[in-house]
Amino acid sequence: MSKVPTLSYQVTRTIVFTCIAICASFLAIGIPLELRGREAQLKTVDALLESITVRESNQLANELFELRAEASQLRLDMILDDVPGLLRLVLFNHQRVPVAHVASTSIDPAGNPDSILPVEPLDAIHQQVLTRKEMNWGWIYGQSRLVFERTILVAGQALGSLQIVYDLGPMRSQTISYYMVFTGFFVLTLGSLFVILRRTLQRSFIRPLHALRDAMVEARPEVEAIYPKYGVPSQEINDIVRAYEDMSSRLAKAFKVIEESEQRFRSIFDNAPYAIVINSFEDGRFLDVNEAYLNSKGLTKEQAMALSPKEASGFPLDQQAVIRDKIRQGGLFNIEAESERPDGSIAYVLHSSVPIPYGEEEAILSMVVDITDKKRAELALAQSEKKYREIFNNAPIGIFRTAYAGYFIEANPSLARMFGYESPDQMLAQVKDLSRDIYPSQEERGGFLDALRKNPAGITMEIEFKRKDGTPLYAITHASLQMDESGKPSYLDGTIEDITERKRAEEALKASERKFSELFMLSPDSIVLSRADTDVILEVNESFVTTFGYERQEVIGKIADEFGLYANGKQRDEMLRQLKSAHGMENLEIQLAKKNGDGVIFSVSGRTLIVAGEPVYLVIGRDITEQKKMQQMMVQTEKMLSVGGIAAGIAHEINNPLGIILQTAQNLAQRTRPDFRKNIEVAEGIGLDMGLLETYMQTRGIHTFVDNIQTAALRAAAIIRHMLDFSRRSESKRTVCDLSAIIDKAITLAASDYNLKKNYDFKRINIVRDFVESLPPFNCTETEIEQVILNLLRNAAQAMAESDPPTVEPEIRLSITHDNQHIRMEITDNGPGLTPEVKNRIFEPFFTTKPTGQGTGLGLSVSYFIITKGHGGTMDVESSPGKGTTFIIELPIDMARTSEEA
Amino acid sequence: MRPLVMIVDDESDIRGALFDFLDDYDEFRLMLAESAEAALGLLQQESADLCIVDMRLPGMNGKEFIREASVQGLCSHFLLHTGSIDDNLDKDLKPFGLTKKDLLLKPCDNWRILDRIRALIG
Repeated sequence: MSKVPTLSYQVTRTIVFTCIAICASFLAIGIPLELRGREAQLKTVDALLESITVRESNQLANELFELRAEASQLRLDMILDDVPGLLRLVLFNHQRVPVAHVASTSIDPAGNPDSILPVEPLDAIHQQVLTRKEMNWGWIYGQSRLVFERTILVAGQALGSLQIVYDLGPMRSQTISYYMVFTGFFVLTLGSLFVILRRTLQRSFIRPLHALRDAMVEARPEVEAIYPKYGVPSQEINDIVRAYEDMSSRLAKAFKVIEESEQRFRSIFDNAPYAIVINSFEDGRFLDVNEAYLNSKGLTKEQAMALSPKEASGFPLDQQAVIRDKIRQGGLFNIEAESERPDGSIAYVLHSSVPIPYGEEEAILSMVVDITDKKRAELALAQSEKKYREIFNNAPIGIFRTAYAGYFIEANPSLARMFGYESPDQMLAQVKDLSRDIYPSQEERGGFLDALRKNPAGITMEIEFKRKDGTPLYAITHASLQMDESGKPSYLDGTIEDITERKRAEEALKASERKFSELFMLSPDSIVLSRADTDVILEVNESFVTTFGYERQEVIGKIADEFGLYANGKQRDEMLRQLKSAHGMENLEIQLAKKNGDGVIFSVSGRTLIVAGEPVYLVIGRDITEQKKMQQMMVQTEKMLSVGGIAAGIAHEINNPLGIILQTAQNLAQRTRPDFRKNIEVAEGIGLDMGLLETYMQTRGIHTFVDNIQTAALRAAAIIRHMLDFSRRSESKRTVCDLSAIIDKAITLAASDYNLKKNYDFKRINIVRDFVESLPPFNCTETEIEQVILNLLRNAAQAMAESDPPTVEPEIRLSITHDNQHIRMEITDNGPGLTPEVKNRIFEPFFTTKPTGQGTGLGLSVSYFIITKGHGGTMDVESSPGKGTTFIIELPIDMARTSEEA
Repeated sequence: MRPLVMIVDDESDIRGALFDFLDDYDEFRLMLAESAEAALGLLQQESADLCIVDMRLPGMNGKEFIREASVQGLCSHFLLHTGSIDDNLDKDLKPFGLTKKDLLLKPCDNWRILDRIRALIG
């Protein structure tokens, strides 16, 4: 677009042109006027000079006539002095030769007349000057001088001429100053005119235009982009035109928009989910309400419109006035209020009112938004906030937020208490520098922060803090580091758990652990620690090492099975099962093997412990092999004792059926006898030949069967009687005994034993007596002790006789020793010995190794009973296969008490 | 008239066995009772010459029966036929004429019982 001159420029230009025109007209009128004035002036000068010439003409004519040069000179001087403005006077004679001349000193101080112009007659210098010939004068030297020449006539005869050079300078300078003044005035006037015009135009015309344009441009900046439709009178006008066009198009649009807006508003009003009402400003009655309002109130439009002002606004009249005032001042915005719903429940609403025109009327537009849900959410949030605040406040662990820079932002009461402050506020007020106030030394916090920077998401550290009173606080600190927007560490969140007590407890525990470690090592019981998952042994104590004969390094790191600790797999499994159970293992008896293979019986108890986070079995075992043996003996004793108690009872019960067996068998024998009278009678009655029956009975061996029945019944009865013998022994009398004599008697009896002799000749056995001399006297029932010894001798002899292969040099060694309390008798054979099983059961009633029918299994039981119950002693056996058997009997020396009891 | 022998035993097989044995000899009249009380009731009708009495009986025991029958004069002789293993006669029974020979320990040989009956009342 070509550059359009601005209005300001155009105005200025117009003014300048106007001024120039004014100047031109001035000049056009002024110059002729000036020339005419000048002519008048020159005529004046001409007249002056004429008059001078006339006045002096006679005098000068005389001089010329008389040729008095000097007088002429003087005369000229006189004129020069007399008339101002004369520059030179020259007097020519009639031959046109200068006779005298004078010059003004103002032109040439030396009075040289030639300095003005050559002293010549006027006609001679005519060509040099513009003259008016008719007037005999002319302009010389740029009009600054006038040359005047007049012929001096006397009596009509020309005697010469007087030439006067007149200084036109003053007149000229007067003219110049006139021009200057005029021009100055003129210029001033023009200038003023220019300035005033311009300013006035600017102020009252251009500026408002600019303002208008600018306003329009500002209103629609894009207006500049509109290409001008019309010519370009000026930029401003152009702008205004364009802006006007734009404005009018916008106005057209705006009207359309307003119309649409009106529709939209109506649509919004009708369909808005918020209740919108328009009340009359004057009395508050409804002017319009929307659907949402009607729905929220459960009213029809007619009902709503008929509501009274008070009902419509929902406020009392006095309040309405206040409210109206506020609305008039600009409106009410987002006022929270409670509102009743049609169903009676309370809704929270947000209420805004603004004044609006409604037709001719002033009205209030109110919008009511149901914020019940939001309110509830807010309440829930507040409750949640409260809840978390309470958690924060009530948590038994310390919770904090600290600035990375090293001060508290927040701390909960637990934290304050932990550090010995009365309240979080006090703590926040007093702890200004974390590293100084809550750490034992300034550097400590640095380490903590280093760790946090490496792992901002969260770290857990055990830290020693400093309480308010300077005492240490041991704490587990969990913390995370939060960064600001620029990624720099900003603040820390975390918790602090006071473990000071735990720490103390740990110290105590360590001391305790040392103690227990010693206890572990030095315990007389064997203790084994093993991993629960792999059963690998972690540690054993001294007792284990000494008891089982292993070096410590032979077992640690191994599984017990590897070195054959368990003698019995089932027991091992049971042990592990109990160990894994919740209650652990309590006094489980288990057979174990020493390194040398010896079996031992252990009573083991165990628990699963957590050691360094790993489940570990702690098993404590005690060698109860001896105890077990004792216990077995006790059980044996108990068994034997109980036999005495129950025997009497069961004997009666058994004897009755035995009686039936015996007596019915005898009846059978009697009723099959061929010689019994009653039998014969009955046989004859039925035609039976008793002889034949007898033959039959004998042939079929029936009598033998019946006999066997009788014998068996009797034997059973004998067994019972025998078994019960000892219950009657208590009545035996105790006397002072000679044990060696009793033994000798028993040996004699054994040698004469018929039953024994059948199988073995007792005399072949080498009997060794090893008796101490002078036994202390002691009481016993001689026959009973004799029975016991006889029984043992018989058993030994029988065992040696029946052993396969037979014992080559059978020997029975009988020894008697004593101490202060006991007499000890040992009876040892070199027979085949006893298997452990036999050995364990040897004192049990009815236990026998002899063929059925040959032994009652009661011999040793009775012996055991005689020694333990009858005499308060002990009876034991030591034996192993191939190594013979030793029975050990200990009898108390002081039998007085037991005698009395018996 | 043959002498009357009363057998008092709570075990029917024992009563039966003794009855069958003794009955074959046709020397006695035999009467059976399963308890002391029943025996005393029977003896009210006719006194017995001899009673073979078990010691353990339901209700009144053998010892009490002997005392009662003796006191009432319902029986002259008694044999104690017992399952007990004590071969000593209770001293309390001696006043009623019992000796150690009258103590018969079960299982007891029939002929020994017969001998003793014959000896006492034969």
